[in-house]
Amino acid sequence: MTLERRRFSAMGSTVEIITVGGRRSGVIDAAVARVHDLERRWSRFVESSEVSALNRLAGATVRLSDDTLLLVELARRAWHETGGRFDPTVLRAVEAAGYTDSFDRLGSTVSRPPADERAIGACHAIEVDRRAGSVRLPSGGGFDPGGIGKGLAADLVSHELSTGGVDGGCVNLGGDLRVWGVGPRDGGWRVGLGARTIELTDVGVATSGTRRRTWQVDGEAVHHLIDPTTSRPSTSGPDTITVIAGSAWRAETSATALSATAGDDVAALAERWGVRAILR
Amino acid sequence: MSQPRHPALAARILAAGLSTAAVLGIVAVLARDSQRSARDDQDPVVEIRVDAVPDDELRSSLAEWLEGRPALTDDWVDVVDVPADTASEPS
Repeated sequence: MTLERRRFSAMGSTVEIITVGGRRSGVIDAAVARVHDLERRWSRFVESSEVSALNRLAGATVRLSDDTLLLVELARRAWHETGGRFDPTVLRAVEAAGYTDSFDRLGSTVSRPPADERAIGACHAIEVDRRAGSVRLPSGGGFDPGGIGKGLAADLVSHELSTGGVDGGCVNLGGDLRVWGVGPRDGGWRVGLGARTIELTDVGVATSGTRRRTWQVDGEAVHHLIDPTTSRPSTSGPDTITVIAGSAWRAETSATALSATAGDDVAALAERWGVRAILR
Repeated sequence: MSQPRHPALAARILAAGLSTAAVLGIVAVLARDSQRSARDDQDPVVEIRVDAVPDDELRSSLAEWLEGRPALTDDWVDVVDVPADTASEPS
């Protein structure tokens, strides 16, 4: 059975796309292009992206592409389903923690910009008009696609590959991944989680951790996972947590939410949300 | 049916070979000023807009895909002792 694999950099991460079988050539190349396309639309570090425009124009109604509308809609839904533990409006807190540029350009020590915590926790105030194709953020607010963007991109690209005639595949954006169909050696897909490997099929997997994407601010080590209840980098959650869910966007938002959750509550919340959580 | 919004969708659908699953409209507006005078220094304006509207089947397929499997249970996760095909680590 034909096996194709691509590794490249996008969305601040290493991306890996693997396809098994397939009836047409060029499908995997289209998938690579599609990842770059989504990065151009969603990155908050790309001045011309739709998300950058949305944040610059907070308070105004902004017409967006279908992809970006979907991103905002699902982020809002994840906020609702996790009881606010996943919150895409923490952008100003992320920036206040010093995460103001793409991580590969950030450096190990950054100065802390003035905190602007307006509209954090105001996800309910995001207005989405699907008929008009528009979104309005609350004035002063910001939308952070981190914590959902890579997972949703994995889902969208996987769907396009699956409808493009591929028999099985894996789209892995920096650890946030979707696998479906047959794996490279028949059966399912073997996904490495540190020292162990698990076999899965037709699921999304995401891992969040406080040991990566860390930097120093005023001599203090900080990381990118914001606790929406404090608007500060979380201190109560597990170091590393992997979530397996029906889709990658849900796995990623759940992992982000649980990364700011005290260990005792993780299992109960995961069960309530219908996902599997693995503390590492 | 909502109005289409961006050309990438059309490219995507075409790349996926879903010709029967999309309604493709190509609107090419060629504005030529046949009366253009020597004093007119404006080039002819050509605007091409490619719109695509996925049909209900494709919309339904994507919605189902984004929902994924229902609640996961333990028997859906098997620990195996073989090399991994891919890995999930914090990024």
